Amino acid sequence: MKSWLLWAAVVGAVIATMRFARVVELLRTGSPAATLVALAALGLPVAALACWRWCPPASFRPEGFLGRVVRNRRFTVGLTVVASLSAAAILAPVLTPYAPHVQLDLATLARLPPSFAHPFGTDGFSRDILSRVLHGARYSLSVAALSIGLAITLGTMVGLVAGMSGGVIDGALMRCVDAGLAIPRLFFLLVIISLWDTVSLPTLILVLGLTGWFGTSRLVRAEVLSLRQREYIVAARAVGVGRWRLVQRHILPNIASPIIVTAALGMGNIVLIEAGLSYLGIGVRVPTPSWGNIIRDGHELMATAPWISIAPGIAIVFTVLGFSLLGDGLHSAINPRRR
Amino acid sequence: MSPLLSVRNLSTSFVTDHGEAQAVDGVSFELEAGETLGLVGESGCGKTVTALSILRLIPEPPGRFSTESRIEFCDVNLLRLPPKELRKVRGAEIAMIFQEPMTSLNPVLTVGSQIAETLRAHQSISRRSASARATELLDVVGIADPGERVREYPHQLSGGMQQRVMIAMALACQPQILIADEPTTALDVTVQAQILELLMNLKKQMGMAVIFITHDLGIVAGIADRIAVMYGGQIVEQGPTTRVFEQPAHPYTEGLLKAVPRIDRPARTLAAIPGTVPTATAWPSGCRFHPRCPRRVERCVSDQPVRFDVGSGHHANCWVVTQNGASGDGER
Repeated sequence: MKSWLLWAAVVGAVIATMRFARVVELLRTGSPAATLVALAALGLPVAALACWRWCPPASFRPEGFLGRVVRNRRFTVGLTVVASLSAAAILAPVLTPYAPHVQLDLATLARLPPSFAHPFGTDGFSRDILSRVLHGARYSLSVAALSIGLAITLGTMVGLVAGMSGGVIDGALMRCVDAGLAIPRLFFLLVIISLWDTVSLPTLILVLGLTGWFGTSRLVRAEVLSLRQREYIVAARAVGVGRWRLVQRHILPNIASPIIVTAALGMGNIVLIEAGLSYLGIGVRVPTPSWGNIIRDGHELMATAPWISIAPGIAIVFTVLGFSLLGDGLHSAINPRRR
Repeated sequence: MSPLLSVRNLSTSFVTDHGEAQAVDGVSFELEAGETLGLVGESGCGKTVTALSILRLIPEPPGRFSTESRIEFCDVNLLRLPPKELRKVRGAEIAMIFQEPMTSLNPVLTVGSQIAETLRAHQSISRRSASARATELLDVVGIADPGERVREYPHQLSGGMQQRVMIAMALACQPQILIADEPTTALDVTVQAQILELLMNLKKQMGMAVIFITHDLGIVAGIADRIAVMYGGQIVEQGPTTRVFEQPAHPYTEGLLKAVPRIDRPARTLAAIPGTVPTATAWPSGCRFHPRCPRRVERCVSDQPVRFDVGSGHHANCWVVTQNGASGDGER
């Protein structure tokens, strides 16, 4: 674990030095996002080095809940994959030699196989695929993260309301959830998205989030119902703790772990859905790169230039795998029966 | 003057798949300020449901109170109180401690913040002074090193300390009534004695009334002013502790007392009451105790006994006591 940090620091420092001109250029533009990216490029290697320097020695075996999580192999591998992908996404403007939409030279630089100049090759429009995949990571991952955030928040709120109120409200909400779960999600998304000519990113996030909360609300409701019977919840009510405080202080912290696991596992799923939609041409629209639409760019050239679709495909596989390992590792660290 | 708490005809039932379970059926008792009432009975006789009903902690549905049920605290019927008003009573006027201290404390909050929470639920008090008060309360309930303990989580404390924390939580707002639901059952005998002593000392200092629920007659004998014996969801006998112990009027109470080992009598085989408690969905006809009763007469099978006065505030619901010349007051 420790040596990885040193590796990360060294690799980060090398990248920052090699592309120092780009960092300076980004700082000069003065836009807040570019400044943030440039600072991250300089800061991440320093942070990794600091962690390495002040990290506890290798014999250190952390105890308790966090220790269990960190000692879990699946979790650490998943976290590493996810963290690397996220870092690559954040640092895309620094890491990539070209802007994602720049057509270098249609006549001579189109459909080039992987080489030193273009590690992942170029596509039919002579764009650098490495640059497109890394910039695509920003869109694919942020769409997924934001829609999962929305879905989990909504699902948690609905589940809490249903579980706490019971009776008619519970019944009504859960029947709505049943209806939502009964409709195949991809079909549902296709119908909704086809209502618009072009789908902006915020709309896409909203639609993905609004169709993804049903499962979570079920889970949260079930957890609340079982928690409500616990003696310490009854005891808290017995000393006059109000409804809102009960939810906020006693119920939410106790159901946080299954919610976090669902979120992690849901991330992989939603990356796939977004890729599918973008592949069909109704998710993230060209020229904005996303993994799904880069695969689409390459699918007609599959026979002659397969590398166009392969690079984003591998990125998707790693992301889904990373989040699955992360969620699964968290799950077994939290669930005492699987320890 | 009316009593502090007056429970009249309390009937709590639960809707189950096997029909309606009448867990508590027509329970009436009174509690004066500063008094200790021992509520005694076997498992499943309705003691805990009675206690939870007083604070309206029964989930509704499936729980239901009959229309005649009344629980009057300072002349206010708690069963008619809106949730907001009810919340002001819970913890501040009537507090409760539970059987299992381990499961009654929230595992994710420090004990200090759980005590502070009680305070902040009822008083406008700053976070800092609430936590200072929590430390004081831990000291009051006899926890050594309260400044350290206040920041610890429930699993770091022993069972006895956890129960002390529960007591601190319950007494934080100096309630007028404390309901203690088998507070010592889950503890070692030596710790039991310490907790009982603590409870009784605090009761004296604060002048509160206590409803002490237990199946252990030995405990109530030492601390209760009055005893109410429950069987099958009903109070079958109630009266001053010494009267009930010396001259039990109900055959069930008699049976219970015979089943207690006594240090002042030669050791013989302990008497047991034959049979088990019937289920709440199918109570026996007539007197609910008649299938197990050694002294049953014909009438016990068909008619439910009413409450008979056997003198000195001592009542029993039993047809047999009429033969000894007691007079019924017609109430169940």
